[in-house]
Amino acid sequence: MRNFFVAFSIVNILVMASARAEVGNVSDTPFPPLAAHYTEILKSKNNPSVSSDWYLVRRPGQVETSRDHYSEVWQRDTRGELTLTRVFHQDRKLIHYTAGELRTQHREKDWDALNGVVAKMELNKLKRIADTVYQGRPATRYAGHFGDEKIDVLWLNKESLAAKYVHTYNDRRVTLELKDLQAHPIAAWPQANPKKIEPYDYIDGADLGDMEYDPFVRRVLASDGH
Amino acid sequence: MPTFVKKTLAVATAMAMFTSAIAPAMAAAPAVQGPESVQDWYNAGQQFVRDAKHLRPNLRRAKNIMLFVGDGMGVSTVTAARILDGQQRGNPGEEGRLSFEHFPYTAYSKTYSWDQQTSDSAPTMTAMMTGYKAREGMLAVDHLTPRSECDPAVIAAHALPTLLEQAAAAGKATGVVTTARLTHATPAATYAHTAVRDWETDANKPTGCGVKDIAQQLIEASPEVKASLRVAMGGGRTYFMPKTLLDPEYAKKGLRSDGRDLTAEWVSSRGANAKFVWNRAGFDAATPDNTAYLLGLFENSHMQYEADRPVDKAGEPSLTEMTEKAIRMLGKGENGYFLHVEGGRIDHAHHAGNAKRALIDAIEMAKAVQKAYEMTDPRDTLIIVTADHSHTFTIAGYPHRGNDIVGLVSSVPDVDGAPTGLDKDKLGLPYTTLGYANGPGWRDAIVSGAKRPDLSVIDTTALGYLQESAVPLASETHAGEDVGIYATGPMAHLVHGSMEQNWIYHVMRTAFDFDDTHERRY
Repeated sequence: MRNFFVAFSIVNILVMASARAEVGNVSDTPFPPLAAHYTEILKSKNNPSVSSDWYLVRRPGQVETSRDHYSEVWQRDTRGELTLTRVFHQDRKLIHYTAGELRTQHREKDWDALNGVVAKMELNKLKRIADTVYQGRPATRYAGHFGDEKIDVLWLNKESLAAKYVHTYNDRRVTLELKDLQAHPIAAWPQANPKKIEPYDYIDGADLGDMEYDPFVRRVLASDGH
Repeated sequence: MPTFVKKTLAVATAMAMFTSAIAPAMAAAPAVQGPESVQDWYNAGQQFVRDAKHLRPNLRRAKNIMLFVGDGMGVSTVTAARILDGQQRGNPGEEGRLSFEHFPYTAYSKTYSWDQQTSDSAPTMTAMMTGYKAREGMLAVDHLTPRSECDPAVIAAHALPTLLEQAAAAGKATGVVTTARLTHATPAATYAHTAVRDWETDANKPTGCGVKDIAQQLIEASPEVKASLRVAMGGGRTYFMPKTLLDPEYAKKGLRSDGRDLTAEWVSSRGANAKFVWNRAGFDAATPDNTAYLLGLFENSHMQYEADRPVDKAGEPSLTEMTEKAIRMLGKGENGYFLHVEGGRIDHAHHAGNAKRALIDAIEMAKAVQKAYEMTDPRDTLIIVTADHSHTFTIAGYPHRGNDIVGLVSSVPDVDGAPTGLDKDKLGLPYTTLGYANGPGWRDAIVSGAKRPDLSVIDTTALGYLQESAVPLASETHAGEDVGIYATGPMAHLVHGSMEQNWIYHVMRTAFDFDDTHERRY
């Protein structure tokens, strides 16, 4: 339950970022390859704070995020079309969503938001507070409100990456803070490298509705809000 | 004076009296209406009866049979697709008919399976192809088959011969066309026998499981089916390709662990004029003159939704184009053919709660049926159109005639001539005509706590709009009500009344006049 709760908060952040940005636009922003390790802290009024690790790995045309035993691999082709592969390491299963299925199921996300945690378009809607330095890297702090939501972002200018993202809504606060930044992922980090996941069972995301007899699919649908 | 004239006069008199009595309200022309006159409706009814009186059962033996299955195409889908089709042509929409709705014989099909009240595609297509109701997830094996059975001998003992196999044994040509994967449950039930519909490629099976995967069963069919199956087109390329091979369209590898390239094996095992094609160019180049056996796999998994087909990277044919090519290839033989065509993606769009994509795919299937009807002779070709199961899709409210079927409900105004407005719910919010009993539509309710969205600021006619659902589920489900059967051609009159789904097989088998040689009896 705890893992689901934490995972849900990250999904929320990215979905909100996607919703505000124009989904599906082909961004020309260059995103240098990197590997980032974040700590996510979830605080709410009547519950103890929950902390977990979250990883983001950027490669040309690909963004991979991981936590615990779950990864998401987003790929973008030369036409700007996105595909998603959800990787369930403990179950040794993959669920793949084609570009058409992402559109149909409303699972599209903004490429900038996937790469930078926050879409640059969203940054532009926030107030630029100050230029600063974070772990020796030039950074800029942005802050602002979207209705009842308060956003605070510390942005690494050269890397086009959020070093810190604080999202406050009612009595809930989600903080995502960079713990480690590398050129390549460290071996101990959870990853979805192709060799490792090649033997996993493959499921087309369009098929989930026809596979409710499968206990794994039932579990995934339940965590997706089924 | 002829009766229908007397009746017309009586109606006209009654209408005049009615008009006089409510003159103030009828002072202006109704704001929303159809283009027909009162007489048009009456005349159409008379014509219908005249035509019906001329209906004569076609008792001939069918040379050819085509079975069209709209996956998940329940009655509400047919109705909404009919209206959308008409509206796309600039008409109010309700008065139109999809191609197969002109067929003379119709019935209801009861879609429950041996163990499911609401079924999946495996037992439902098994029922239509074998004559027996079957179990959840099983393809062309009887209901006594143990679940997840891996022993090929046990599967063989429980296998039910399909109509496609019987047509092959009778010397007919056969074909399978779908927009889903060729190995997906509906098309697979025509040629494969397995206890698990998901064993589409060898990597999907448990280690040591001896039953052939579905892709392998297509390629390694019996000698009769191998000789007969002239055309197989759809999606699912990577299920036929080894993990060592890169897909020609996407930077993805095949899924097969056994190292076999079944697309190459199709070509090598079916003679000099066998072809494998994977894109629009290959499809166009393969003609009945230069191709004896055609395998077309146009996507690595399912083909695109019809609405998205124009943006496909490599280009792919429509269901209508595939149907046309299949008929041209199968029609070369003297002995006739059996062809199964599936509109496979209606179901997937419904599962996503995306009505417009589902309806566009249903309209495309109706076009494929139209093409098939035009290319064949109803005197010797039986065409049956049906669905395997329904979805929880509804058409609701009191929208006025011609109201946008994917739009918000706007009913007939209280006073004719007054402008129409949006109907509102108890919260004062507008709502759509189309909706689902369950599914992913409007998930925000869970997060925000708001009871309903304000649809007045949302374009519900957009292609990607997900209709609201009463029960929030990540994936919309199948529904258990009956589906329609529409038939024309030899023995089409046997399609009537309320039918068990497996009786469709018995109608087709009777139309082919097959003997019992290949029947399995208990």
